[in-house]
Amino acid sequence: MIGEVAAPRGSGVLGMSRRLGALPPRALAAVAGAGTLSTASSIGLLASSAWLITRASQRPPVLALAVAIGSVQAFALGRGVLRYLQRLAAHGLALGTLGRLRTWLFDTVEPLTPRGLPGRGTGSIVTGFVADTELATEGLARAVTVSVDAGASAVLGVAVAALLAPGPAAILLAASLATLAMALGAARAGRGAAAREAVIRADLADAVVDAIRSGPELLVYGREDLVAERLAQVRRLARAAALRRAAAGGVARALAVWAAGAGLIAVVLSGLAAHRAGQLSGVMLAVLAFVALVVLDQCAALAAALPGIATGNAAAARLRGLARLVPPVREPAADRSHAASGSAAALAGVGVAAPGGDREPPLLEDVSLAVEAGQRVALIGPTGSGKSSVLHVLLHLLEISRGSATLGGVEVREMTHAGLARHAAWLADDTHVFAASLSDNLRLARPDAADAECAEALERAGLGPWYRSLPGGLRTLLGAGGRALSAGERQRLGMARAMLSGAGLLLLDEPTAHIDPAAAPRLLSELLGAAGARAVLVVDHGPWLAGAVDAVVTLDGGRVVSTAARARPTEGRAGAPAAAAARDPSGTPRG
Amino acid sequence: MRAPSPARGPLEHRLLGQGAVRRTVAASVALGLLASGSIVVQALALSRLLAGAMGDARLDPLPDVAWLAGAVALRGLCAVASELVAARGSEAAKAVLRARLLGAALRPGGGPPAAGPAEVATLAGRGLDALDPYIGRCLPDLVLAATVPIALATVIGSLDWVSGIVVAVVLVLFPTFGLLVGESSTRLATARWAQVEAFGRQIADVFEGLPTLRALGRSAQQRARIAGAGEALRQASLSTLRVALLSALVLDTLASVSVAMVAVPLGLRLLDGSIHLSAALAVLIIAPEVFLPLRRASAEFHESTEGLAAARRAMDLIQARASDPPRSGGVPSPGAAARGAPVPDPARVPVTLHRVRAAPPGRERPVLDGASLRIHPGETVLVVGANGAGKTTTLALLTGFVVPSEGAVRVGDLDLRELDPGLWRRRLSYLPERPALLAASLADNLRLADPAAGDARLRELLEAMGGADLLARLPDGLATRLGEGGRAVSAGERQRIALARALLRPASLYLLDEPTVHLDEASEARVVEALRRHLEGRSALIVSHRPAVAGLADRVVALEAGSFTPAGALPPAVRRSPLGVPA
Repeated sequence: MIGEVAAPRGSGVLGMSRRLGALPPRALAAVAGAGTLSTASSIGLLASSAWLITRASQRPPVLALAVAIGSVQAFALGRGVLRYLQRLAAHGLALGTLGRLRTWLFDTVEPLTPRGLPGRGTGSIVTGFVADTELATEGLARAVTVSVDAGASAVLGVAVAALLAPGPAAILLAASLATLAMALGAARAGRGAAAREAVIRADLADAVVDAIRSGPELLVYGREDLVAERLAQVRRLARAAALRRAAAGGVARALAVWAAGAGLIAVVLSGLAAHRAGQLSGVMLAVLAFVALVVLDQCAALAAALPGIATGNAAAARLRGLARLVPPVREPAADRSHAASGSAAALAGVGVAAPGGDREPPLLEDVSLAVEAGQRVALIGPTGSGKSSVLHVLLHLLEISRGSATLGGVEVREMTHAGLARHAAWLADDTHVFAASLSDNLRLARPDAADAECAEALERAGLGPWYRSLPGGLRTLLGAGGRALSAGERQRLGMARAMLSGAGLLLLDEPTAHIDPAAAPRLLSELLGAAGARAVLVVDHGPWLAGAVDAVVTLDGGRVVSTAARARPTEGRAGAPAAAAARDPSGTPRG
Repeated sequence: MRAPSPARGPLEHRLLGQGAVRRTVAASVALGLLASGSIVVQALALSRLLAGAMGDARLDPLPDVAWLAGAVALRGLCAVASELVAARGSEAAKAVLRARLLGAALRPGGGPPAAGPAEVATLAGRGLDALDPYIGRCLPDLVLAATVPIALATVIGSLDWVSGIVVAVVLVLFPTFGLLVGESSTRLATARWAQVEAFGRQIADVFEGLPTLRALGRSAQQRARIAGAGEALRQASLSTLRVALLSALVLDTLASVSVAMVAVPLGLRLLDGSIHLSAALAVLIIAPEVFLPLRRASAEFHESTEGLAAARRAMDLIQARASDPPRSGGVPSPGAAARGAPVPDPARVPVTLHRVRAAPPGRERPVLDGASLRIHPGETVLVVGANGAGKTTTLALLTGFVVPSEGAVRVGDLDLRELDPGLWRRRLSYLPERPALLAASLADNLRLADPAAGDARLRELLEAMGGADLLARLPDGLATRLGEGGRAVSAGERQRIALARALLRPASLYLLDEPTVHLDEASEARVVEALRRHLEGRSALIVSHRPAVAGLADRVVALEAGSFTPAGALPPAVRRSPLGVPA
């Protein structure tokens, strides 16, 4: 075995699906049943044909052949129909498992979102896992089908052979097992090479991304050769790995062919010996040979199906890795959100440990800040300074290891997310618009909101003219397959959602990150205007923020480095000159 | 669970045009025919053995066993060889496609319009890898499907002409039935696939919106939606498959019925002795093999639709880039006379945009129209303007990544188009909007701009850009590996490194796109001060909307409605900014 990668036993897609209870038992039984019957008819077709022909050569009366002729025809017709049923059953099994795997994925990913996933649970990662559930189930269907085919043909074939002559039957059994072992060996041999290939492929992707991103600079600096060199090197490695994998797979396939061929010869020779000893008629010798031919072909065919199964197994392994991640927070059994009064938020001496443990610096350290009712606080600081973590602590998407985080006087960890959402609303840097109607998108925040309330929330978020221009009104379909929204419209929709939720505290996480710099100040001031008297904690970079908030908290390295109160002009803050405030030395982060 | 109906046929001529692909297919087909030949030998040997046992039991079985063993050995060797041939061929084909794809993506003028770096990387990697089954198996199997059945039918016909005719008739029926059933089932199936895809989208949508759902406390309701959509998807898929698999049912049944249609007449004719037993047995062994290549080809084609789609996407990208009109992203090709000819120095002569009309890289619609601008030697010009006004395109004109469709870029009296781009770029330093770090050491990343620079100089510039903290933080200092797989740096740190790199370059024209983006106010002030010192007496064109940078400029021009206007009239986007712009 070439460089086998250590994998736990039963690590394949079959084992995983079974452990998750994702294998629908009836569909599994249907695949096994239809597969066994269609395999039986394959064997029956050739065995009865062989009997018919050899018996006919002895020139018996025609009537002696009637049964054989009938069964040849029956097996021939039955085989096609049974194969069809087996295919349908295999797809049914895959689809049933897919549904269960998807709900499992949802249950697993949900508590990990967004802080417990690698890469902060960005859409592409989760989409990758969704695709993995599909690959895993395709592999599963294939694994079940070929195992049933190979297993059933071996069992049935050996049983038929045993009825004819015990010696050749034993040889057929041994040959089937040897052929299966060779085919499985192929998968093992290929696995190590495939793992190496995956690493090289990741290198290649890195090199390509690097090359494209740095292209303009390299051209100006006349150093395109750097990229070409690295790409050529990775390509050479990829080629070598692919050839090694092909060689391993080819040798294993050949071994399966040879094992099957040697088995066939052995069965025929021992059958011939039995025939000469008078224990086996010539007709039955022919039947035995044809049965061996079908059975051993089926077993060797396993080798060809294994790459597809391996793809499914790899997907299953990625999903299993997901199951090992620990959710960053645990939701309380009882919700205490009703005890919260008002919308004041406070962090006192909050510390959040890094997900990697003590080896990394903590995400937040001794952070204290307060957002009083009706107050607007800006949170600024360099990338990675912990701004988003503060918002995630208040949303209880991140567990604090020290200190206290309260909303309306109640610890956030004592509220469920549904309860918490009544007090704090979150606006992400890019609002996700669901593929659903406008009203469904809005009512996510409050399912019982009346149409008028939805319309009002849209007006307040600055979407009034847009909404009135929609021919379908609130029933207009948005998102994938529906009407597309601009980045600014998405953020306003998110704001309308927040308005509708009735939460007294708004948490805005870089709401203008994907907006043209020229349009950002206006959007931000309008979003803040829509917030009205609600308390706001806003993370943003822009200088336009300075005149629009009551206080600016600066974070760096997970610590608060300064807290500065600002005078906010009571009205018209959107366009108010803020140059003076922006130059306030206390408000600037450490250089 | 992919859509059963590929938009285009199984043959991709742009791939078949590759010599490597054609050679691979030829070799694979030869091996496939050899393997089929070994099956015939095996059938003949086995049938003689069995017939011998029926008749004269004294017959020596050894020669036939030897033939059988030889045939088996040959088939195994064919298996190894065909795997290797397939892998070599598809690696060669992928290498060509990859090189062309990257060449297209790397052409000056930024990334291709239709694909970001991540998509190109995926296409070049996993996307093209999905071609393996297409080149290695599907294409040869298509050829084998057209040849092996006919060859085997001929062998059968030579053993027994009646069976030969039966098999030939079924062979003719096979594609006809396949087409008939396939056509109608495909039509039904495609109608239903739309429904299946809609359910699939719903599920993906819920997963993508999970952060929102969590923050709204609405995950539980959506879990039900996933389960509901999953069940609906299962139902819809199954009813689709019931139809889509009908063609497989017909072909399977035809194949097995043909065995019966061969076997029964053989039996009846053996009764009157009009055929020999060994020939009959050989026909029976060969008959099921006749239809295998046909079914394998259709299965392989289904398998490789994904890879084919990826290859087509890659080739579309390559072609789209190759047919780019020169004004939008093409490289100027200097006349033979211009190659290597001396290029005027912007430190001595002005650089002029003269009534240029130009579109951003890879786009059709021009953003600059009749735009004129002159950068005098030693002058720093700041370009302001709204997003999309053409600021970045202006820089791309000067690097030569974009060629104007009207008007000209001139260096002194010479048109930039007539200069050797390599020599011209030696006069430039360039800080793009999104500077990149290579997977290399910090020092190597900096030295891209000037391979001869010493460590002290690198440190000095990094520190001038506020990178002292960064240097202190990195475990191996300048030797620390950055970029993919290396040490992570923040956006601000990346900007500082890129700035230091741009200034390291001993250039006579500095082109800086948003030099202080990602920097906080204090660092920005520092960087602006360092830039002021560095650019003293050198030509520069700076694009920025940050007020602090305006202080650097000898002259501010506004880019609005496709052309440059002197600084007095600032565009509304800048006026709207709460901070305003110092005049």
